[in-house]
Amino acid sequence: MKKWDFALIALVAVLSLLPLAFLGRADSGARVVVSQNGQTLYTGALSEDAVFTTPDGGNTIEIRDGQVRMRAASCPDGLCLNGTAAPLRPLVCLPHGVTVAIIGTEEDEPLDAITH
Amino acid sequence: MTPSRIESRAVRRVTTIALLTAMALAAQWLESLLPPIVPVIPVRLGLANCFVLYALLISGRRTDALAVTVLRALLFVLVAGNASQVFYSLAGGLLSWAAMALLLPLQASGRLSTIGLSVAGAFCFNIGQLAVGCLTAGPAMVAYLPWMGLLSIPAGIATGLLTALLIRRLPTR
Repeated sequence: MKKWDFALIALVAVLSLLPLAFLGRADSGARVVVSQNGQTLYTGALSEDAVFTTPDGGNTIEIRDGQVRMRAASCPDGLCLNGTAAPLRPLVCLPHGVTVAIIGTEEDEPLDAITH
Repeated sequence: MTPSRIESRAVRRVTTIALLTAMALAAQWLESLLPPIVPVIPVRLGLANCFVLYALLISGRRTDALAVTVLRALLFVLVAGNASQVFYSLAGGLLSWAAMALLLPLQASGRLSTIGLSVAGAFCFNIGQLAVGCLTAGPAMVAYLPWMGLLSIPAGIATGLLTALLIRRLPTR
């Protein structure tokens, strides 16, 4: 109703939207875990670019620009070469038993939904 | 035998604070029966803030409103709350009172209206609650800020209008 009211409301709106500017980097704490047959071979931060090859030379995983890909694989079907890993969808090379998973820092990551 | 002027003023002050606290508790209880305006997000209309604001505006001292705020936070657990809610109400209430008390001179000088005060109070109330939420559940709670902050604007406007109406209609002293 008065002049400064609008200024105050605008200020409140701006302050409310501030987190959106910082929350954009939501996966800054995410980690990549490469395991073979249940054994963890490599783990590193998603934000750090890296290339990792399994000891038997069968798979090469590349982490670049916050994305994880299977750069090379000697398995017969090559299904793992497609696409990138996602928090609830790991890359899997079934013939070699290699999985590449992304794990976030939020506790409820493994849960798709919660009901009470 | 008749109480002195000073005594009756003190009695009136205590009674007013008690009445406002009781009404704030009743308002908060009523609100708790309704579902939140937006699911999942714990923002309510904050009718109880009306009474804190009312106390700020009609009494000469800001401490009356502070009393209502603190009492309301502490006593609601007796009405219908759980014990952990006390921290949220205290944090939110104190921050909200501080904001409204600080801005009071602006309202007195006519630059800010009751609605502006109320929005500031509502916003700070949610900030206080979010702060406690972050302490308990982690910094990820900040994700609620945009929703809670923006929702506090219409809530604050509504309660501000209500308080202005109250002041206009109720006899002062």
